[in-house]
Amino acid sequence: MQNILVIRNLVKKYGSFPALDSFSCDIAKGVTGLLGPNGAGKTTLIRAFLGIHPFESGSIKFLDYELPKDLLAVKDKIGYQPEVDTKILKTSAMRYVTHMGTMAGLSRNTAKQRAFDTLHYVGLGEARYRDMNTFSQGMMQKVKLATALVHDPLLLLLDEPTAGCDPDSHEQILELISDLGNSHHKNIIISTHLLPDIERTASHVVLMNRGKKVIQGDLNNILRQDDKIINLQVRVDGDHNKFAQLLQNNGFEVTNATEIISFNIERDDDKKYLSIFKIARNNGMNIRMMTTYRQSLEDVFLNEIAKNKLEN
Amino acid sequence: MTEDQMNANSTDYLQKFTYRLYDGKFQPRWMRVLYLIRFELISTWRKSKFAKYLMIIILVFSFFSILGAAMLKDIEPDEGEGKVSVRDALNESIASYFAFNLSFILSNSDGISYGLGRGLAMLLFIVIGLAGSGFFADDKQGKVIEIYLSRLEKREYLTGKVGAIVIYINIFVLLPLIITGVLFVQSLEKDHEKFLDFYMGIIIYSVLCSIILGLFILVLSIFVEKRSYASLIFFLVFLFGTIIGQAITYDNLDNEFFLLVSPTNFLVLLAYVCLGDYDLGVWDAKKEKYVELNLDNSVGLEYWHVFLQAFLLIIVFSLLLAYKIWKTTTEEL
Repeated sequence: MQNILVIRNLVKKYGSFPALDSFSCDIAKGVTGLLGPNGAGKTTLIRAFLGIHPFESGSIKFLDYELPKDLLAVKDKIGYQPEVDTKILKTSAMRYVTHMGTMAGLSRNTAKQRAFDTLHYVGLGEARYRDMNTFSQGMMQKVKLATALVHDPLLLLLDEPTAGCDPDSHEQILELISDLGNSHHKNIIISTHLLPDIERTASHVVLMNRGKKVIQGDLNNILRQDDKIINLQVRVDGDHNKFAQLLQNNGFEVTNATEIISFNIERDDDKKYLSIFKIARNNGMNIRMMTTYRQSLEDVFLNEIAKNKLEN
Repeated sequence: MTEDQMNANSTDYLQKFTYRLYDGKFQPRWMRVLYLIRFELISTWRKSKFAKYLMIIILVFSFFSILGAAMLKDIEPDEGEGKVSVRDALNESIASYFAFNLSFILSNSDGISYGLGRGLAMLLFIVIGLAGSGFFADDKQGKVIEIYLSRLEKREYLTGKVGAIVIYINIFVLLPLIITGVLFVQSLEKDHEKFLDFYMGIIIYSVLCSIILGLFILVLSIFVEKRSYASLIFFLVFLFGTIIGQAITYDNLDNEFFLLVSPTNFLVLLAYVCLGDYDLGVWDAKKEKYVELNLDNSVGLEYWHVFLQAFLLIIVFSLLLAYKIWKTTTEEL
C-alpha cells in the first residue's frame, strides 16, 4: 500500500530535551492510530508536521511534498483537530467554522456553504447558530471535527478526538471517523490514549515512546500472536482448579487458573489438543469452551512500552 | 406524494447533508489575511460593550468637531498672512488630537487653538486599549493560535492582526481628522489643491500613529496573561508616562530631547513633523510664555529625531511581536 507520509530521522528538541529523537515511520493510506504514553512526542510530531514547531533535522515527505520546503501547500491539504477546546468569544459554531474555512483558503461564500454542510454532517445542524461557549465537550469535539473537514483536506490529523465526550457523543464521533475513513476514503491519523477507539477505527498503528518509534504496522498483524505459539483458553463444567492441576501434571504450562484456564500451546501440535479432551473425558468433565486468546491493543501497548523501557 | 417520491426526497436530504467533497479553487494567500482582518474588526466590535459605547461617544464628539469645522466661515482670515494662520490652525487641530489637556505644552500658534480633539485623547487611549488587548489575549485564552497556525504562516497571522488594529485605530484617527481637515479648508474657502501636502501629512501621521499604538497594544496583548491587564497597562503608560514626561520636560526645558519622553508629547510632535510644521513653541511655566522650538535648525531636537523615534518604536514592537509568535510555547498554543 502506498505511503501517504514518510518521516525520516526527525529531531525536535525543547532546550536539551529531545521530544523527537531521530523518529522515523511510514504512514500508509487509510486510518492510522498514533499511540504512545504521555510525553511520547505525539503532539510534537503533529506540530512539527504542521510547521507550528519547526523541527531541527530530518525529513518529512507528504505525498510528493517535502517539508519544510512545501509547508504552505501541505497546510492546505491537512485538516487539524487539536486536543484542546478552541473557542472564540461570542461566536457561533457556524461563524467559527466559516472563518476557519476562509483561513484554509476557501472564499467566504464557499466557506459558509461548507460550514453549513460539515456542521450538519457532524450532527450540529440545529445548534450551528448557538454561541460555542455554551457547547458541551462532545459538541465542541464535533465543531473541531467540522473545522478540520471544512476545506475537504487530504489528511485529517485528529488529536484526542473523543476526549471528554459522553458515551453518546463518543459513539457518534467514532461513527463519523469510520464513515470518513471507509466511505469517503479519507486519510486519517488519530492520536489518542483510548486504545479501544483505535482498535475500532484504525487499520494501522504507530506506537511511539520517548520520541522514538516502538512498533508500527497493520493493526491485525500487530494483534496477531506469534504464529507458532497460541494462547488457548478453556472452560470446563466442573472443578476448574482440578482441571488446571491435571493439565499441569500432563506438561501444560497453565498461566491462568480462574474459571477460564489459559495456557500456551504450539499451534500445530495436534496430539496436545487431543490430550486436553482426553484429560477432560477421563476425569468426567466436559469442555464448555475452547478458544484462542486474541490480545488487545492495550496488551501490545503495555508489553511494548515495558520492553522499550527495559531496552533504554 | 407517492411513497417513491417521499423516499426520493428523504434520500435527497441525506445526500445533501452527507460529507461532500470539494474540488473548487483555493483563494490566494493574501486573501486569507484580508479575511482575518475583516473577522477581527467585526469581533472587536462585538466583544466589548463598553468599548462599543466609547467608540460611539468618540465618533459623536468627532462629528461635532467636524460640524464646528464646517461652520468656521465667520472667522475667515484675510489673504497673505491669513494663509499662514489658517495652516497653523489646521496643523494645531490635527496635532492636539492625541494630547491630554494637561499635557498640551506644544503649540505652533502661541497657544491659540482651534483644536478639535482636546479631551478625546483619554477616551481614545481607553478604546484602543480595550479593543487591542483582546487581539492575542483572546486567542490565547480560546486556544485558537494553534488552529490558526495550522492554516496560516506565522507572518500571515501577525499581518492580519496588525492590519486589523491599524484599520480599527484609523476609524478614530484618520477618518475624523481627514474629514475635519477637508471641511476646515472648505469652510475657510481655500483652494484644496494648495492643501494636498496637508492631507498627505494627515494620512502619514494617522498611519504612523496607528501603527505605533497598534503594535504597542498588540505587544501587551501577547505578553500579558489577561486582556484586562493589557488594557490597563496601555492606559497607565500613556497617563503616567505623560505626567512623568511632562514633569521631566518642565524641569529641563533647555534640553529639547526630553520632549520625546512623554508619550503624548511625542505623538503631538509626530503630528507636527508629519504636517511639515517645524516652527513650534514650548510653554515655559516659569516665564509664563512660549519659548521657541525649531525642529529644523540643526540645533537640539530636529524633526528627523521624531521620525527616528517613531521608526525605532515600530521596529522594537515588531521584533517583540515576531519573537513571541516564533517562540510560542506549547502551553500558550
